[in-house]
Amino acid sequence: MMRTQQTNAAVGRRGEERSALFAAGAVAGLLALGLVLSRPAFADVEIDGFVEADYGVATVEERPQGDIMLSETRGQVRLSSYGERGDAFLRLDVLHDRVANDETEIELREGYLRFTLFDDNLEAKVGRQPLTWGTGDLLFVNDLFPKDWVSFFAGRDDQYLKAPVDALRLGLFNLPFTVDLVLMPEFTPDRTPTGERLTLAVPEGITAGVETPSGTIEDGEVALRLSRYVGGASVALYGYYGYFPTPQGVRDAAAKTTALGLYHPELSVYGASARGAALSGVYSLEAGYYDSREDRAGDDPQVPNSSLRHIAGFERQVAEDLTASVQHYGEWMQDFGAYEDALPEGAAAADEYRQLVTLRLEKLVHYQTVRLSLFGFWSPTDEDGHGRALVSYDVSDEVKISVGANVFTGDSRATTFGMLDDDDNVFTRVRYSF
Amino acid sequence: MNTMNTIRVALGAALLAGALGVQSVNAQTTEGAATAAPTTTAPTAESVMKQAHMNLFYPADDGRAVVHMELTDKRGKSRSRDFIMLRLDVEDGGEQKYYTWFTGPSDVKRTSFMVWKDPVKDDSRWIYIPALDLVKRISANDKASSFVGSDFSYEDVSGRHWSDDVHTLVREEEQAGDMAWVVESTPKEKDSFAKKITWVSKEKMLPLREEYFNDKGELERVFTAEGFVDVDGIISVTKRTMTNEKKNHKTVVEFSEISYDVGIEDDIFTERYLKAPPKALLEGEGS
Repeated sequence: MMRTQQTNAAVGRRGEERSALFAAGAVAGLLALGLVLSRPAFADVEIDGFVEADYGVATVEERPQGDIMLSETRGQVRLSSYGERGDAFLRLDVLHDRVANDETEIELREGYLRFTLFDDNLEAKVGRQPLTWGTGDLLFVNDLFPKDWVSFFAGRDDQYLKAPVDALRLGLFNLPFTVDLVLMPEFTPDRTPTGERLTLAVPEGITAGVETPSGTIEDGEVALRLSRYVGGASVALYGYYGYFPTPQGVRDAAAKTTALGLYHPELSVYGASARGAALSGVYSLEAGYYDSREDRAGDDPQVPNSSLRHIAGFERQVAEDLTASVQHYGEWMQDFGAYEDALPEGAAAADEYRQLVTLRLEKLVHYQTVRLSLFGFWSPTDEDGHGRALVSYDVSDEVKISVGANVFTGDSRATTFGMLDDDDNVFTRVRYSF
Repeated sequence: MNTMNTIRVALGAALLAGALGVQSVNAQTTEGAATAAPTTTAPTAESVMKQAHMNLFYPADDGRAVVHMELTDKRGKSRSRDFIMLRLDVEDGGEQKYYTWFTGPSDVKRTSFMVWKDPVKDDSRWIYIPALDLVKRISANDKASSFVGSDFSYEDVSGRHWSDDVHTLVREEEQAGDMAWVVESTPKEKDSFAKKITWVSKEKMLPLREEYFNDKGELERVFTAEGFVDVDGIISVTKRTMTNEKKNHKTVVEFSEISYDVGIEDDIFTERYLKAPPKALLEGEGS
């Protein structure tokens, strides 16, 4: 889950990071395309994509950032080629964002080459790509791959929840279980509110920005999954070695020893999941142990405690074209006593067992050209919540119109959704696909 | 990120493909049916429906087809779906696996869908949404609902088991140029229709027409199979239409590049190939 813990002052880092990522991705993309074009084994390159306009306004008056939440024009071009030995894919966005900078920027969303080796037993996918695994619906335990919470909360299309990663993904098949190994040479943090578009509540005393691990290979990330089917169910084991995806640690800023800054503490995760059919629906179970490597004793209040996190979910169709799903998520601090003892006098303690429940309702009408979607998060422990509503209409195969709203509630600025209490918004989007 | 439209589209289309892409009659079974149906003794209604079901859903051991689907509403506005489909029979008349890869329109392109069909329990279904790298398991207790905004229900296309209805042979008559058995079927338990009349071609042992009635006796939907092609001795349907008479909405499905016994392996129907199209899908051997 997107535990932002009142943090995330990503001041000035975004631009640099983006350009570095872009450069790496562009190289991978060009490499991929080059290989495709020079390899006669590949079929023709296919081109498709869309153009869209998004507009969203905050419904809370007198917001310091102004009323406009979303005002952008986007074009996406996709190039794909499938051949004898594998495939290559490029997804390029051209975005004119009038809220961020009123400039036109190009972002490489995907650019990869995928091929098989050793008689199809090994598959490699190299380059920029979205990565997802685990069983949660908008909740994540073993999926530590980067998310773009700004896009998610501001009303952009669902596909922008996943931020692209530069990675080498290896798949090993025809064993008793499938092995997926993901090597990410550079740590990619989540994109979290910076105060520009969405509210950011910086904890008291934090005066410096966010430090991200350096771009060296030692600061990279590794993720592993072993999975197989057992009957009709999918079961998996997971491992992760890297950093907390959101900057949840506090320490002296590297440059200025007098200032406190935020950073991404070291993290390892070990977990498991199962998903299958039950009671005419689909159940999912997932758990993960978050080993906070810089605070194994749990007595450093400036670094998150180790925790055990879990999701239990169930989805089923309750009426014609109406699907409902519920989930329960929990985050149990492992050294709560040590944490509590180490807290400075008068500081508010976090909950030992943070919980969250979600509800999703999806209804399709008018020959399924109209989709009505509601998604709610509620945390009884943080006493905060978030509601998402979306109505979309497929006018034709090419044109889709969407209208939606995001609502946040919570009395404390220190909670995930409470921080965004003033960021309630409504948005609309028109997309033409080609 | 539950893009339900996409899911529904994939879900329905894959089932449709499964049911339709392979709609055919095995030469051997035709022969068998012909000998079993001499002019003197008519076969039982149940055996006709069972034979038609087998020819429709279980020809050969596996198959591949390219499918184009056109949905037209009452104002004449149409939408389309294009995909390639692979099928493998795990057991003749029993479990099957389907794999579907969308090639159009643009907003669902590269989405893939997989079904492990189980005639006794609920099916297992998965969809892959490439922009999120998301594999989603879908609940599959929705056999009576419409899919893809098409006029077919999930059950129409994934195969309603012949033993779910009571069948009566009412007459023989000519239908679309073929002599046909006319069978009236009523569900054993309350269902989405009250009565169905099926015209099964005696020669092809395939349904040529089906009429679905509601409990007021009103005609709700009409199915027709038109256009047949012989693929390696197996008669296959190339065009199938479902019309909703009440809503004046129509779905036409056309098949091309139909091939059988392509040698599709069981491991195609796993998450690996949801994420990357298998060679067997793209190559279209034997077509």
